[in-house]
Amino acid sequence: MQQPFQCIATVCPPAASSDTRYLIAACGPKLQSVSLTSGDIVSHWSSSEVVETTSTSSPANDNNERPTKKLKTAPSDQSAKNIIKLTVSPNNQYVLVVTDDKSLHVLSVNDTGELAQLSSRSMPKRPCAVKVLPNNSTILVGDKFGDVYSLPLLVDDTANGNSDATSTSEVTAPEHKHVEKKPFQPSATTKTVHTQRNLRALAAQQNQKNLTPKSKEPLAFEHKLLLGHVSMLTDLAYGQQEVNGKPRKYIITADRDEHIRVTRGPPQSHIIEGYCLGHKDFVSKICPIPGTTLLLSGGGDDWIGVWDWSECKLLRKLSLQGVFDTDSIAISGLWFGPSDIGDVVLAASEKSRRLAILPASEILKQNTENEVWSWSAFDHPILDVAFVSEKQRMQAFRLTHGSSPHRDVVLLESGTLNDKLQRVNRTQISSGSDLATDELLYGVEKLRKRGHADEAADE
Amino acid sequence: MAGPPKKKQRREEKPDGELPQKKYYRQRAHANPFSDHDLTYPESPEAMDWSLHYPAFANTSKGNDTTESDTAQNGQSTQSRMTQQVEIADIGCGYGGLLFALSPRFPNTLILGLEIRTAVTEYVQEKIKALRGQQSSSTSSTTPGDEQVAPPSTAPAAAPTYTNISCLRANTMKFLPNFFRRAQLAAIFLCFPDPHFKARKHKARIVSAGLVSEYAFVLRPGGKVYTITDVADLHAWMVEHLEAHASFERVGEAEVEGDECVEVMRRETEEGKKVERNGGSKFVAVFRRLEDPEWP
Repeated sequence: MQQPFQCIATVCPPAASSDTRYLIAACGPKLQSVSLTSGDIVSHWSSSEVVETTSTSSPANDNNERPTKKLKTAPSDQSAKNIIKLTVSPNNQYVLVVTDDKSLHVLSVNDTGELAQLSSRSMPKRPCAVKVLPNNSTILVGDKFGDVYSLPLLVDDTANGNSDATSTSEVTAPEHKHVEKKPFQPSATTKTVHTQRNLRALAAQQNQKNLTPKSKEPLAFEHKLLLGHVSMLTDLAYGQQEVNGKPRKYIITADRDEHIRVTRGPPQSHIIEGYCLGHKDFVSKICPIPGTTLLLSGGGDDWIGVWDWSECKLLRKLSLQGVFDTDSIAISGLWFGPSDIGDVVLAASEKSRRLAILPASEILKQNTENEVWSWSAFDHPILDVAFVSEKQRMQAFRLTHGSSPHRDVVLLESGTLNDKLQRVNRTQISSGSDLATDELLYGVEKLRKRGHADEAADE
Repeated sequence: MAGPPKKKQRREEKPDGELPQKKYYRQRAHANPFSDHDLTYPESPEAMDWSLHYPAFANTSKGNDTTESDTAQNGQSTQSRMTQQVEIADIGCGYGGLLFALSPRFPNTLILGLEIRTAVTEYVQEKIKALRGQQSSSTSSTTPGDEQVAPPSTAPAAAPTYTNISCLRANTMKFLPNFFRRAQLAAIFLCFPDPHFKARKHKARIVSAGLVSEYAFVLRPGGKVYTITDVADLHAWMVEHLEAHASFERVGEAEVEGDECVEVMRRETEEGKKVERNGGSKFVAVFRRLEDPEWP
């Protein structure tokens, strides 16, 4: 059983010649850097190695750092953790990797495409969206519990990146850490609880004199809580617009309960500017269109929303009816990038073998009855797409997953490099059961609500 | 053996116009705010039809025939159908003690109770219906069949009509912005919320860093958040989070004591009465929504 690549990205190191590009591809717990000129694997990284290498260098992996929680899976600590998220910094110098042990790893990519881990930080909850701000020094992390944190990209202060780190250090967003040093005292009293059972529990607590409160220890690295949803957060974007010649920065967050929230960027992230409301089902992906205040949103509805997020206005619903070949639509990817027909919007629905394509010029066309989505049909479901902005040709990597033992897992849209990539695909080590792979690859449909009978879905 | 629970039958046996009995509407005091309840909520505040909740405040000036073609599509129409909007929200209203007490004090303000427990919401809705019915039947001429249920009312003209209060089932921790627009509210009440004693459950508390931002969003500058609890720890928690938030300042003691809402909150909430009976203490804190600062 061969495991597919679940996340891909392209990197163009700034110092390298303009044609040099590298494909960063994640397969299970392994990350590879592949030269797109030669098709060679330049470098690789694995989350399992990290455990050994960073235990000394990074304070975040200290054992006393956090109370160890019971892990659902993973029998041993040494087992490699699958990569669930992959992001490249705007300056193409850093690759951010999230593994399913809630760790955020920052890697550097040098001019020859080599990967080197700089830090590894263990987040309180599983991160589900990671973005590096345009200043290339701050990371925004949204987690499953709905909280968004900002972290400095580089943990070490002696390194560069201090210039903008100061702006986030002005704490305006409230910290919710509760520091208690006093001896334990039950917060309930006989005045506040009355039922027999509660009174018994209270008496037991009072007898247990020396119980230290199990408050969570604070994270050992610099972090700031910017905002929080009660609903499960699904995606995160960064927005900017100019008003009266001054730039205004925003954080846009999407959640499972149909909301898209527009919040001021730090240091005023306690102010909510508005909500883009209109989805009837979960929102799983949002995609801002660069240089505009437009935002695309997709999820469990059979349409893609086009919003002006600066006014929280739904401009259009791009119908997806008949576009995908699956029973239900669960948008697993939404991309905006260049192609031979100009900029395009790409959309993928979970387990669908079709990649929906819409020219960007169509997005704002008013009074059109039907959107002209076209699609590329593939042999396997699409997992991720990356752009190689090369001479106006759209070259999307399709990462597919199927049942054939010798299938291609990475393909270029245009065939020029496919021969070279064949080699990369074949070197992939088989691992994992079908079930575990499915769990890693397909999580979007699970966001759909199944009625109140299913209360166990939430932890 | 299985069948509808007795309580539900009893609820239905109640004659029209009579007040509902609390004992048939008891429900476990805790609800998990993170689970997907079978909730009904508007897609956005514009899609909410408040005229069903406050018919007395519905805008009748424009001939509003009941054949609204697409109210959800055209949000503007549903909004303009009301002469005014909800301005006071009681989050976690329970059996509605505060609503019924505030109603006559702010007869021209729309007050909404939000409660996550179905049976409790139903009780409040039934009670509002019954009280409104009693009121209108005592003022209008008696209709046939009305005699037995109408109370021997000697209500003066200024008696409360309860047309300005309503209650709906909602999980406000998730869906508050679905009901209210930015700066719509003048006051939010958080009365005797679930204390969630365990540290692991603190995120389920009605006050948290993230939620305070949402309260600030729906409150207008100058608007207030009223909190009351009998649990000292929870009081400290709420004060800590609201004070730490840059959009709020704590209201001074003199102003708090002079506020009639505080008095109502202390005396009239159902939980407030229970705490009184048990000899517990009540901790009150009030916070004012500040103006948003300029963009940096």
